[in-house]
Amino acid sequence: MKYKRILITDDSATSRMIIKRCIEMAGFFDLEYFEAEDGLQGLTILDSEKVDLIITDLKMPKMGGKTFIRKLKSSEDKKDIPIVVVSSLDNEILEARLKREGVLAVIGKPLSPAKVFDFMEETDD
Amino acid sequence: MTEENIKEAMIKTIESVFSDMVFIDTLHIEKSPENFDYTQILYIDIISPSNGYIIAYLPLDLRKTIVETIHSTDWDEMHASEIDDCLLEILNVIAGNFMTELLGRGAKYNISFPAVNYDEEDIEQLDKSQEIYFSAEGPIFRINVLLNS
Repeated sequence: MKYKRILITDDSATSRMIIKRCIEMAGFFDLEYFEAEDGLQGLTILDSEKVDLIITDLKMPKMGGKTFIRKLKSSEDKKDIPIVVVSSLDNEILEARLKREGVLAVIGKPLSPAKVFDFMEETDD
Repeated sequence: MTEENIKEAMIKTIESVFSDMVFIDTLHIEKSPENFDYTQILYIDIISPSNGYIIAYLPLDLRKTIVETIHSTDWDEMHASEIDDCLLEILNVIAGNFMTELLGRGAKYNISFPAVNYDEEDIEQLDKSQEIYFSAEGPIFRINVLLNS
């Protein structure tokens, strides 16, 4: 598995825990997680920590996912970090737009181990 | 968008979200139960394309089951804020999935952040909302949904 250090950005602690659990249930262990409650906290963490993957929600207070993604993509040292959006806002138009902006995958909530496994299999080349 | 469409979309959503997130089979109850009791009201606004809301009325035993299943921790060991966060996340997912079920995946919609409601009297047009009851392998809970055209 090429993703060893993962930043999870979601305002719900429950959602962050579900994401971690689904990754483990999908068979991916011994990963290092960093957690942020919003995009602003996420950016702060990324200033000091190198991560291989960012999993982010869209609806978050202070700085939502769309702004967070735009800021990442306009940053020279962060623009190449793969981003996965996990959101309850499941919408084809939004998904297409996010992918145009460089998002690797959009996964609808509720997240399941099967959805995580499929994503990891598809991207783990 | 008829009342029947809305009800069907909500029943389908509740069944799938409860099954996927808390591994509980839910059953829609046609007739309002005589003695329905709840200990918490959760609320989320639907902002567009129609305005309205979804309200969940949850009894204590169901709240405990949901939270303990998701967190794999005893209810008594959890902080009130963790419990609220967990139940609000469920409502958030229900709202997103309900809108997708109702409008289709191509549709755009906007919903608010979910919140705990402490006073039912603050809720507007409650008499115009649909009351939908469910059994969650025993405990009964209610969803009120309103979408103004």
